[in-house]
Order: sequence, then C-alpha cells, then structure tokens
Amino acid sequence: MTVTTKAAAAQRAAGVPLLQAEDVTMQFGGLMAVNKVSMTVNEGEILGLIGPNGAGKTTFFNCLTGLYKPTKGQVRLSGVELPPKPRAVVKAGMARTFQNIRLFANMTALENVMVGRYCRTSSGAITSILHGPKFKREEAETRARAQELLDFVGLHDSTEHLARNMPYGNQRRLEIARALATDPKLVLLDEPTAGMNPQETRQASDLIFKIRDTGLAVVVIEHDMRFIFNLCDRVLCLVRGETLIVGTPEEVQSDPRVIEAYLGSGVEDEDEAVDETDGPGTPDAEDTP
Amino acid sequence: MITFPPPVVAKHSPKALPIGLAGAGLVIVGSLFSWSYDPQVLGDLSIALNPGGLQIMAIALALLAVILLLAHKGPLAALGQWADTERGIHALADWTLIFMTLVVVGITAQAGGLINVEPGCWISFLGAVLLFLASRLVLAKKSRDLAEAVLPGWVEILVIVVIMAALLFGTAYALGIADAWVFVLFLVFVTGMAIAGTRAGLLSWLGHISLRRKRELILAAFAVAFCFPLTQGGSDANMSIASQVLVFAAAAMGLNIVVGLAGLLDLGYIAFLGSGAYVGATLSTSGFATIGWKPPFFVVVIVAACFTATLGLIIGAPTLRVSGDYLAIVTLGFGEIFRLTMFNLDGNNGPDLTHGPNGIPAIPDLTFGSFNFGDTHILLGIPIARFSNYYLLLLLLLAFIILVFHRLNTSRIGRGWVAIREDEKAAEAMGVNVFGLKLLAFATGAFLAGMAGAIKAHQDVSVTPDQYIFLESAFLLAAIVLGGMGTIVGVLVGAVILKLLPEKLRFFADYRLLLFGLLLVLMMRFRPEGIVASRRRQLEFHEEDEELAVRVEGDIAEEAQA
Amino acid sequence: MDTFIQQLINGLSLGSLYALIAVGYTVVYGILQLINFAHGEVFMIGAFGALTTSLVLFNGNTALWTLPIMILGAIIASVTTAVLMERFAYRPLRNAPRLAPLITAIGISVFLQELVRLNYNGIPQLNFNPFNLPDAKSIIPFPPIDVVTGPAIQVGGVTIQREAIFTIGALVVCSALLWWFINHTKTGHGMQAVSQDQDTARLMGINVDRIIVVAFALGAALAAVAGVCQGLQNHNINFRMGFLAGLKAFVAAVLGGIGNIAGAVVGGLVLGVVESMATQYIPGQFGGSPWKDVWAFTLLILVLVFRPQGLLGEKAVDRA
Repeated sequence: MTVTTKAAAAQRAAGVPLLQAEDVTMQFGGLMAVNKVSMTVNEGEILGLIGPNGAGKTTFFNCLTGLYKPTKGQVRLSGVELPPKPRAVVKAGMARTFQNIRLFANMTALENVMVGRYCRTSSGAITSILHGPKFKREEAETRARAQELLDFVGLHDSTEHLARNMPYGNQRRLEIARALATDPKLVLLDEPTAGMNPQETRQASDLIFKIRDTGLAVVVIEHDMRFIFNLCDRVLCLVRGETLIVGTPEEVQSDPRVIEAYLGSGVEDEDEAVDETDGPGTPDAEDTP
Repeated sequence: MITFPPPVVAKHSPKALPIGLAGAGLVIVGSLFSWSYDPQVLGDLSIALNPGGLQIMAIALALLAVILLLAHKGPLAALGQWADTERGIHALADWTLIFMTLVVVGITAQAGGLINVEPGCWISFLGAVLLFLASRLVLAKKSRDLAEAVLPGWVEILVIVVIMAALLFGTAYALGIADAWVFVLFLVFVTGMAIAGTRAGLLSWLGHISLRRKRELILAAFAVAFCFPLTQGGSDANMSIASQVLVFAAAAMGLNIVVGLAGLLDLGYIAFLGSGAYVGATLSTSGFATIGWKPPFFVVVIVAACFTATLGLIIGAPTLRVSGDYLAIVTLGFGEIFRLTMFNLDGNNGPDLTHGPNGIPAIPDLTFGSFNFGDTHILLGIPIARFSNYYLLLLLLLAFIILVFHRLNTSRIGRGWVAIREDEKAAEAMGVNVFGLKLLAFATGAFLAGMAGAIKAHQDVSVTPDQYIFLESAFLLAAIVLGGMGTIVGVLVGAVILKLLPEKLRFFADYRLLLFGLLLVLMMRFRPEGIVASRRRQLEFHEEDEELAVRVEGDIAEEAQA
Repeated sequence: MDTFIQQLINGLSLGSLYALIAVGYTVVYGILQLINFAHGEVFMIGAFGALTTSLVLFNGNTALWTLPIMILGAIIASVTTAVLMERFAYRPLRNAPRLAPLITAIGISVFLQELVRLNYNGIPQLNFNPFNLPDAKSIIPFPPIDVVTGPAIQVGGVTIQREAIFTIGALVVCSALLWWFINHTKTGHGMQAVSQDQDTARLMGINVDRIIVVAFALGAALAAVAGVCQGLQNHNINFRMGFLAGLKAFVAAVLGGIGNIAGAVVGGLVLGVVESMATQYIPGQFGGSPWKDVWAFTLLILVLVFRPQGLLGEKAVDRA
C-alpha cells in the first residue's frame, strides 16, 4: 500500500494544471447550490473534495461534467473551455462515476465497459452491417481493451456476470472501469467507498493510486477522512456551496473551521446540518452531499 | 386442472403405464376408422383406413404420448432421464382430451347432431379419456439438467432439419386449411404438442441446441422458407396470403429496430411504409402516376428508401429529443399528417400528386430486366406464379432486413442502444451519442420500410390513403409486442400470427379487432416481454426476479462458449 | 371583423370540448405519468351513455329537463368505464416500464371502440336487445334538446350557435367546480400532493390508490360532459368520435403544460381557436378544413420542440 508522500505531493502541486474551474456558480431558482467555486487540478494529482452533506459537491461535479449548465463560471481542460455537454466533456478527457451507482444493470460487466469505449470508436452503421475491416478491427480492440480494464480493476473473473448480479463492491469497481474505458485524462469519483468495509476501502485506495500511476489525475468526493488524507495530494473543502479552504491534507485537517463544519461548534445545532436539497422539486439522492 | 389426491396416486401409479398405453392405443385405432359419415365435415374424416388431417393429428398426439410414457418407465427410460415426462404427459393428455372433445363438438355442430359422430370417433375419445386418467396417476420424478445433454453434432443438425421440415409442411398445410373449425383444431394440436414438449423439456433442449448451432438453424430456416412455394403444386392461392404476411413481417422487423432495439415508441410507422408505397407508385408506369420519371425498379427502391429515410430524419430531428411518452403521440400525429396529406393532395386542396382518396391504381407488375413478376416461371418443374414471385422477392428483402437488424444489434451501435434503454443519462455521460443513435434507429427503420413499401405498391396493384391508417401501426406494434420485442424469431412469429389468424378464422371476422384489443391488454398484463422473449427484455420487465437474472447469466456464459 | 368574431366563437366552442377532455389527460398524467390513450373512448362512451339515458328513460323526448339526467347518465357511463379501466388494466402495471401501460391503453382503446360498435344494441347473434337500442355501426342521431339546440342567435353580423354557447358555458361551470374541488377539498389537496410526490404523500397518510381513482373519475366526468356537448353540436354520435378528439385533447394538454389543470383548459381553448383561424385565414389550397388536423399536429410538434413545458408549465430541472 502506498501513501502519498509530502515531497511527491509538493512536486505535483507545482505541476502542470490540467483542469481549471473558475468561479463556477449553480443557482436553482432562489437557491445558490454552488457559489463561485474555483478549483485547479494538476496533472497526475489526486485531489479530494470534502464537505458536509448538502455542501454542493455532487452538484459541482455535475457542473464540471456538463450534466448541469452552470449559471456562471467556466471549466477548462488542458486550456480548452468545455461546453456544458456531457459528451463533449467525455471526449475532451474527463470521465466520472456516480454516487448512486448507475451501471447498465441488464448488461454484463464486459458490455458495460465496452459501452465506455463508444466515444473512442467510430464504426458507423454501414461498416457494422457489412462487417467491414474497420468494424472487425474496432470490435476486437474494444473487446480487448474492455477485458484489459476489467483485469486492471480486479474483475478478471466477472466478464460475463450481469451488472445487477454483482456484489456491491464489484459494482463500484466496474463503474470505475467503465469510466476508464473512455480514455480520460482526469477521472471524477463520487463517493467510491460508500458502504465499504475497511479492507475494501484500502483496496479502493490502492486502485486509485494505480490509476494515478498510469498518468491520470483523479478528483475524489469522500466522507471517510482517513481515506482522503492518506490518498490525496491536496484537499478542497466545500461548505454550503462555497469553498472553505484548499490545501494539503495537514492544512485542511487542522483547520478549526473544517472541524466545525462537520461536527458543529459545541452545543447546538441541527440547523448546522444544512438544507438537504440542492434545488427545487424532489431531492434526488444524487445531489445530497 | 383436475388432479387426484396423493394417496390415490401412489396406490394406483403402477397402473398408469398400462392404462396410458391402452388409451393411446385406442386413440390410434379409433383414428383409423371413420369419424363422421359425412365427407364434408371437418375435412373428410369418413373413410376408414385413410386418415384425414385431423385423424393424423390425433395419431401424432397418441404416438407422442406413447413415447413419453415409455420414457417415463420402460424401454425408453434412457431418454426419459432427461425429460420431465410427468409434466409432459400431463399437458399432452390435457390437450388431447381438449382436442377430441372439440372434434366431437365440431362434428356435432357441422353435421347437425351427436348421432352423426361415428364409433371410430368415440373410440378415440374414450382413448383420450383413459390417457387423461393415466396421466393423473403418473408419479413425478427428477430429471437432469438439459444443458448437459450433448449429442453428436450430426444428430443435432438432423434434429434442426427435421423440425424445420415439420414447420414447412405444417405451415403449408395450415395455409391450405379452408374450414375454420379444422384450423382451430390444428391450432389446438400445435399448442398441445408445443406445451407438452415445453413441459417435458423439449423446448429447453432445442433452446440449448439453437444456442450452439445458430448458423445452421438460420440457414435451415431460410432454405425451408424458399422451398415453400414449391410445396404448393403450382397453386398461387395461398401465396397471396403468404406474401402479404411477408410484407407485414418486413415492416414489423423494421419497426423492431426502432422499438425493440432503440426503445423508441413509434406509433406512426405505417406512414413510412406508405411513403415507400406512394413513391413506388408515383414512379411506376401506371397510367395514374403523376410524375413523368420512370426509372428501373431497383432505382425506384433506392429512391423510395432514401425519400422515406429523409422523412424519418425530418420527423426525428425535432421529436427524438422529447421524452418517450410524447414521442408516441407525436409519431402518431405524423402518421395522421401523412395520411391526411396523401388524402388531400387531390388537386382541390393541394397539388394533385396522389389523387387523394382514390389513390394511384393500375400499378403494373415489377420487371427486373426481362423478368416480369406477373408471369409464371418454371422452377424445378414446378410453376411459380405471380404471388410466388413476389413472395420470393419479399423473402430476400426480409432476409436483408434481418441481417441489418442482427448486425446492428451486435455492434457498437447496438450496445449504445441498450445503454440508452437502460439509463439514457448515464449513457450520455459515458460519451454515447444518444440523439444520434436514436436518429439512426429512426432513419434506418424508415429506410427499410420504404423498401418494403415500394414492393408492396406493385404487389397490391393500387395505393390508397386508407391502407395506411393508425390501426395498421397498432398492428405492427402489436406484432412486435406479442411476438417478442427485440428478437428476430419473436417478431416473425408475432407477424405471422397477427396476419394469418384473421385470414383463417373468418368466422371471427367481426370480432377481430375486439379480440385484438383484449389480446394486447392481456399480453401486457401477463407476459409483456412477448411469446419469444429476448433475455434482456425479460430482465427489464421483471426487475425483481433474481432467479431469472441468474439463469440468464448461465445462458450468456453457455452461448459465449459456443 | 364579423368573420373574425365568428371564427373566434367557433374556436372557443371547439376549444371548450378539447379543454374538457384535456383535463382528464392532464390529471392522470400528472399523477401517474401515463398517457391514458383510451381517454378518448371514455368521452365517446359518455356520449353514448347520454343517448342511452334519453332513449331508455325518455323515449327520445327532447324537453330541456331531460338534459341534466342525460348528463348524469353520461357521467355514470364514463366514470364506470374509467374506474374499471384503472382497477383492472392500469393498476397491476403500476411498476412496469412505461411501454406496458401505453400499449395496454391502445388495446383498451380498440377494445372499447369495437365493443360499442358491435354490442351497443345488445347481442345481435342472440337477439338480445332489451332496450331496443339502435345499431352503432353507423352514426346515430343524437336527440336535439330544446333551448340548447335550435335556431342560431344573431348578434349584429355574427351568428352564434346555441350549442356553442352551451358548450362554452359548460366549460365555465365545470372549470369553476373543478377549481373549487382542487383547492378547497381534502381530496383535491390530496390530488395536488400525489401529483407532486407520490411516495411522500403516501407517507403522510394519503390513500394514494383512492386519489388515483378519483383522478380517473374526475377526468371521466368532464369527458362525459364533453360527450354530451359534442352530441348536441353535431346532432349525431358514432363509435369513432373518440379517436381524433382524444388526440387533439392530448395536444391541448401538452400545449397548456401537461400536469397543469389550468393549462389544459387554456391549451384546449388556444387549440380550438388556432384550428378555427387556420381554416379561415390560411390562404390558398392549404387553408380550409381538410387541413385543420394537420395544423393541430404541427402545433404540437412546435410546442414540444420550442417550449416542451407548455404555455403554463414550469421548466423541469434535469436532476442528475
């Protein structure tokens, strides 16, 4: 098990910026879910995104990946501004997983990952119908790469298992494999260890390091503090839609405001535990962190 | 159904075999004698030792009963260990009794009185009763997993050929049945054999074979379909119905891409068929055609297909972004717009392109070079007349459509479609071009319908707007839903049933639509995935069923090894 | 100007019919996200119910006092149909994928049309026709009730049909009753709650199943009134009348904002007026009544493309 070291972290902090989100704001009617949040992720960096429930973390992810159109602000990947369209974002090289696992339940693990290859292949209808050389080549490549990714995340034996039959921990890994299939430069993981025991959490941590070692940058939303502080080079803390602090794990860990945000300040305060809703209408569990 | 209490069964079960064999024997003996004095009743059952159609069916049922009984306990026990013979015998006996009862009723009704039922029929009826009693005395026993039953390759292929041949002659016979009662009894016979076979595990075994031998199965199926006109002995009467069934099946398969694969609910699909037909008619050499360009047929087909595909793109572009429910209504609206437009372009309410309600009649037969589809040609010594010619052409088209369906389904595009059906937003988030794929499905479906329509125009000789009403779209959709969304075999089965049954069960003609509506309601309530269920659709419709999920996984694994 | 007002009134009258039927669609969709394709047939059965009441109880007497009883007969027929439909066809499919109830609805629609066509006059094969009802295979005349039918009223240069006034009046009355019901009764509040969030409503102790039945019944009652109005306007009814009217009413519901009752009313009126104006004012060969249905559907497509939430609907936020 590797733990990120200070020196290595410092080196990465000074590195080349990959993702630059500037003043991203998301407003739902009268509710400000995300308020002028800026974030920079450097190449090869692992950045943690923490904050109490309802702070706007998943909403922020949705803004980055184009699922929501931010009211204000800009998102740039490798210097190029990203339009608020999920497909463009994926093509540019940013992939994500979901807080409530959103696999294709009635497809096998292999098929799930193969879908991830869609944006990197281009066989059209004609070549598919005629089984032309491009089709054959791309099918073989897709299949091979999907198998490779399943091996990478440790699901070697699960290729033909239906996603809905797989145990929870494996489903999370499958979602990661699917995201990796899109050949991203940056992966956004939304609560990858939710519901996991300590051993599974350690395995998740190892997997994320493995991902980083292949050259990707990773942003992780999590609540498990020990996990975050062992894993991440830098941490950004979001409270009530605003950035509280950005810094190294030590800096963030020891900041009294962070402690207060999570645990409340002494006596009170159920109101401290923030509105659960990020927007009008039915709150969807997707947006509650 | 009726069962006897366990102590009775246990005490008398040794008698099951002799009683059952006796019953089956009586059925066979009775069938060799005359069942009815009047040769006009139920397809001539009046000659002793010359069994008519129904008597042959009774003999077949009895023979299957004998096989199952002996497999249960006796010389064929080695075969029996694989089959769930108890349930098979139960089902077979039930249906044989139903069959014989209906025969008695039918003879009574048609010949005018119970007195007209001859002794031979009564003997068979008694045999069926004995068989029924015996079936209730049979003890249940465990059977082995059919996935493990592996026979030499040539045996499996032989089985496929035999089944296909049976289908061929069965269908030829079915098409030739003139009497509605006989047709109903034929259906009872087929259902009985099918259910008994299914219960005994036969269907499951065939399922395993077909998983392993897909290619041989498909080739055999098409060989059989091509040979069909040759079984008609030069008669073209049934081929008319057969080629109408094929047009319907071709359209249904095209719609299957839109609904079954991409999950888009299109209630206006008939407009695409109509568009192809109108283009085909307008560019034909009919005296009523309104455009002066008369290209050769294969150009017409391409033009019709491209025109219709463009129509599909025009309709799809604004509407495929809206949610599924609205899409249904919008496509229905487009279907109506098409029909109304064709109706109105009669010179009064618009330029005269389509002659309005009168349509474009007198469309001559297709000519492909020197081959005129209206003439009778000789193939292997058997005359192939007009409808047979169209039948063969449509069969080629259907084969093409099925090829397109299958290849798209097993490609990156097909995976994209499944992902869209599963979770559209997640698919988009993974880079799948959701809108583009939906549009592709729509345009492809339209293209294929256009091709079918162009041929249909020539086959029908005239094209009118009232051939393309909403109800036709509903029928196409029903064929897919009933038969099995997203499957090839299922949709073919659904199309055949929906087109053939009304032709054959003429006495139901008035109640045709009523029963159709009822059938839709009942199907969605009890078996929404259809008769032949696509594995994925079964999973989708039965989200809660975990056993099913495990079983499907096993199937997938087995197929992957093939 | 007179022509304009004339067409406006025609449009409002037509639109009132659409509005009355559209409410049924929108209420059911708001709660169940189901397009009750068979709702048009409920409308048709209402009309037949009124006719039956008139023939059986009054023997074709056209006095004005028979009208309320005819309306009652219509409502009973429609509501019974709708409630049975919900109970036996839709309720078992509550958790099925959307395709299932939609296809079921199509099946019910065809079934009901045929049932009326074949068996309105009893069972012909068995000579069973206790009330001596006419054959429904062709159009059947609808009794012209005194006062609400008859010679048109002239106001200046404008000819106003009595039936038109009746229809618009019926809409006004029904809208008022509906508004009162939704906003001032417990059940009405319950309906609002269920259409917002079914699960939470259930947790708050609202009997969701009962609310759904009420929703179906409500829509059916209004459709029944529309059926009577249509019968009075056209002077005849037939088993096919539900199909196109149902489709148009759905267009109206979408136009106004699906799920929004006020929207259904507004949408219906707008659609009626647009159709009316289109037949009058679109020049050349494409004007005129043969094309009016085309315009209605074109309007639907435009609305769905440019303003899918309808005129009065709220833009739904896409929740990830």
